[in-house]
Amino acid sequence: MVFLIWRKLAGFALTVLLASLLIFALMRLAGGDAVTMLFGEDYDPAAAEMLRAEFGLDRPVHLQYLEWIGRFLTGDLGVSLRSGAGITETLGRALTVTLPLAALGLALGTFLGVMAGVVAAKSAGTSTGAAVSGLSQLGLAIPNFWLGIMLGLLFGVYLGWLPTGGWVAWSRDPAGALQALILPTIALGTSLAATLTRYVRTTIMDVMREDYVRTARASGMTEREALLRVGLRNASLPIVTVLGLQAAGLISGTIVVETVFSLPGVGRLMLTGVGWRDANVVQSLALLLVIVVVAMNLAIDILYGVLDPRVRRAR
Amino acid sequence: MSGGDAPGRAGGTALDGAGTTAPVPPPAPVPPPAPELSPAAARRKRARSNPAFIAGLAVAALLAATGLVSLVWTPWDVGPAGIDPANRLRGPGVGGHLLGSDHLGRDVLSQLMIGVRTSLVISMIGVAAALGAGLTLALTAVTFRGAVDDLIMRIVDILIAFPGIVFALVLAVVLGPGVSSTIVALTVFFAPNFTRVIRAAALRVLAEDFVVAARIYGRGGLAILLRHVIPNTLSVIIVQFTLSFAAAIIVESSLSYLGVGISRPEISLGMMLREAQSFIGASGWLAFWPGLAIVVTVLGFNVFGDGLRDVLDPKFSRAGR
Repeated sequence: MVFLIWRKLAGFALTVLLASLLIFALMRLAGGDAVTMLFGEDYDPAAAEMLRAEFGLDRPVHLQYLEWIGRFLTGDLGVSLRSGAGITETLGRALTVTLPLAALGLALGTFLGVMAGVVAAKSAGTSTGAAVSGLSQLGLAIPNFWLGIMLGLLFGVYLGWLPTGGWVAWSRDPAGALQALILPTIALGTSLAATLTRYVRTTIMDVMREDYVRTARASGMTEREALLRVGLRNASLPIVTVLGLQAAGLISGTIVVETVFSLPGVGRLMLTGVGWRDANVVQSLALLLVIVVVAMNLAIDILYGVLDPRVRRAR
Repeated sequence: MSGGDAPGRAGGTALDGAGTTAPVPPPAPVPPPAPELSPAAARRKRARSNPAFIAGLAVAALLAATGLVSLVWTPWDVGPAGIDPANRLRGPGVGGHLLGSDHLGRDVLSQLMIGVRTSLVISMIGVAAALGAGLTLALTAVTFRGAVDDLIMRIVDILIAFPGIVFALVLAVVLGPGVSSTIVALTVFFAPNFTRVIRAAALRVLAEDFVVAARIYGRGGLAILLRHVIPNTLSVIIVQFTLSFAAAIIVESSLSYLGVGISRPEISLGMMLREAQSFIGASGWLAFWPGLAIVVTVLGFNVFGDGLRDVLDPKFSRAGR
């Protein structure tokens, strides 16, 4: 088990290292240096030189990389080329929006997806099963940003129940902040649920064919008990794995949904960075988000090992 | 009883089964001796009896046709000449605009037709490039195995860890937002998946007896790839292509919606939604149509892809499960 964890950790470190090299190389090689990108076509060379010196961009590329990574590892994400503000502090504020949104979306999506998947598996071959499958197929085709816009149109513009966008800080108005997250959570969770439903359905149908489920039935459990106590429990590991695979999608979804509802989260931060062609902001945030995805998968791998003795003993 | 004609049987419908009438065809005509269909004929048969496939194909064809028509004709001009501030933000059917007009008075239907075309073309190019890259990587990996395989699959793992939008945003800074960064983003987004799927399928084929036979016969690695591996993984590739294509339409429209994809004077469905959102209080329809067009397109190609899988590769179809 310990060996397994070390192996996974080494893989994690390698992936993050290569990802950081990739991001850095893209930013430096393809587009010239950050200052040129920032200034655009015509600029004062002397001012550019000054700025380069200030940000250390006049030094050899490998030193720039090492400095970026060195600071990154100590939690310093650098400063915005545009505003001069520390990215770490700005990020801290943005996370108070993004983390709750992602967590709520993940929770809602998992709940809906598992529910729908169980129903679809239980009623496979009936019209209910077909309806659930059809709904998930439809859910896969609806882009989350359009769903968000339509929810805003219905509950914000027409009914006036909820805000169509905007944000109040948690410290000023917790209820208002929560309210601002309702529609974004639904938009984010629904698309996750649609993806999940299919996996859950297939997994549960596979599990329900296993011998131990037959044993459970034979020992007097009702079909429902067998499904919920034995089937779902044994299907939970594969489902958790699929959730890990959705981590990247969850982050993309959060960025998009934040834009729909003009929430000042990490997505906004990153898009502003793109708009300003602020290489410092974009490269640090991109690496951070990749690390989040890889770390989520690492955590799930290790959790899998802890929970499943067969995996624990392997290798 | 297919062979006997009516007059011959008229007298002798024997109830007791005793052979009253003369010419009983020697061996009772075997119920149609399950005609051995050629693989192609079997595919055609499965295609005809698969409503999802036919519906998906119809939607896909209709969309492609719409895109083609928009090349030569749209109901209204969508360029500067189509701007008509007097008729801005009209509802459907008002002033000759079947689906209404946008914030500058331009016809929505005309823009939708062009938007569908843009989405189809960009997604097609992006996914085709991803297929090319994935095929090359996968075949390289299965040919050399060992360290090369490990390296390629490690790179694939890293790219899969990149949230698609994040990578697209990085590219938007590097290349500047637009058509080229969108296409590159799509390529990078879908290539890892193609690599994985094709590699797995190719490894299956390479383990088959006929490939071993071909090797013993003396065929080289490249000949085996061209003669055996590619033809036998083709159905997997086609299905993966169709499903990725549907997904690419969502990715493309998301990027255009975020403002890092297609922008004016080009027209795309995501871009229309981005513009429409500012006027959502004045005209909800404006934000409705482009989204509906995306849903129909994605749904059409997804259903088409699922049907195609059943048609091409009944072994891997989900229908039986």
